[in-house]
Amino acid sequence: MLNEPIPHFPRLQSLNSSLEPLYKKLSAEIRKIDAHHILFLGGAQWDGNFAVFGKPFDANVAYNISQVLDGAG
Amino acid sequence: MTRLKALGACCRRTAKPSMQLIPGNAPRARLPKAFPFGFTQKKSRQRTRLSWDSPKTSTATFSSPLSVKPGTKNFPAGKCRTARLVPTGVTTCESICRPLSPVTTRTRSVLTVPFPDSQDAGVTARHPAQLACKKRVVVEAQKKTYRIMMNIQPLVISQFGVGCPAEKIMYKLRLRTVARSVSHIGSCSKRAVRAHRPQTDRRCRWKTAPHSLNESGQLAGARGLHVAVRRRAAISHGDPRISVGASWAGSLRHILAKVPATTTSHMRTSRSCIAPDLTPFAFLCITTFSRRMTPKGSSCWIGCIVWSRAENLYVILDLHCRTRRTDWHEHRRQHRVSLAVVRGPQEQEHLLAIWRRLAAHYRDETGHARLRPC
Repeated sequence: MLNEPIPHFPRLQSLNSSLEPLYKKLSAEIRKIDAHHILFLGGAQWDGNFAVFGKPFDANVAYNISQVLDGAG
Repeated sequence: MTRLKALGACCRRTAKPSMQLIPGNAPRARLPKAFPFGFTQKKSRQRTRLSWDSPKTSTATFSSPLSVKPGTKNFPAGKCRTARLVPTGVTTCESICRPLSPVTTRTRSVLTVPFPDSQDAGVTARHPAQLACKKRVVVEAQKKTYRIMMNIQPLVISQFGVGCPAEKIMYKLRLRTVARSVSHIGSCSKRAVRAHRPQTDRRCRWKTAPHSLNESGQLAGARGLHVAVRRRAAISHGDPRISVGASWAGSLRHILAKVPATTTSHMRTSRSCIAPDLTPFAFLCITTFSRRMTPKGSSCWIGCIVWSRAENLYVILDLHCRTRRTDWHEHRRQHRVSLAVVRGPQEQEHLLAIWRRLAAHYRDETGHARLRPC
């Protein structure tokens, strides 16, 4: 639903606690209309921090991880 | 969920002089000159002892995995010699963490510490200015360098995969990954889109982007949209406003299988992250609609969905920030909307409106995948 939300800067990690409520809000709205499709939830800090999540709040939800390979090689 | 612990996360001061990293019964490591978590030897005001609990049992936690990005000055990718991340229960860590042979030497260093400190309890400051003084102490200790080749981000992925069986994990590899894979191989067929990073990076320059506009693999009817087709490896796009791409897992795995083991460290980690027996994800499509959902702006991804439907492939809608060339992790001042979506009700309402439209549009779409509970 959101691609790589919330930057990785420490001063912005205070937003982490707001991410899951936002996802719940979005999923509730979507489920009113569409109860079938998978919802993909990205973790905070570029889809890298999944400590922001509690238990899955939807039966058909997937957690999305981003693997960024910058600067390698 | 298992956690990784980096050494810098558990740094604490002790009164005992030591310059060693104390990894329990594991080999010791030298305090780095450029520690990736902000510690430097010069800045140590007191003897510093870094420790982690037990590397063999992998009880380390990693407080902020992405707070340090490989490739930065203090953390060159693939060249970190100092910090050690120990994954727990990770099946793919062998190729990520490759311990090298420890080398034992003795080190003698001069540290500047505050004066008086706890060891100078009997010393009476003759002048108030002495309370802010510093003293130089000589520390001699045994050191063992223990070099670890690592890449944080694959470890994070492995970390997440611990809680789920492999068949439940669907790897959504970004286009750039595929592009770099192809670039490293450099043996694409003539008809394939020969993708180099400047062509696939969303922040690419216009001068380099159009090289792939007329290559095979371009989706008909979608301006600037390039997709990988069967047995063609690369993904590219020419329109920086909308980046859409697709790839088959089989192709990607085939690509990665071709990569020599000595190519680059990150390619080894990429290959290790894709389990050979992983249930193939039938299709990988990243659709980005980064701007307003106008008919013109949405034509590309709508075309991609139509094409994917014809190919009996799954589509993942991946919503980026609505402002131009931004993501939700954008932090620059002119793109504050990316943060406002978490903070402000107005942006949230806009986001809700987008997803309501999408849900209403595709709610009758057949062939949707459904996850079975783990």
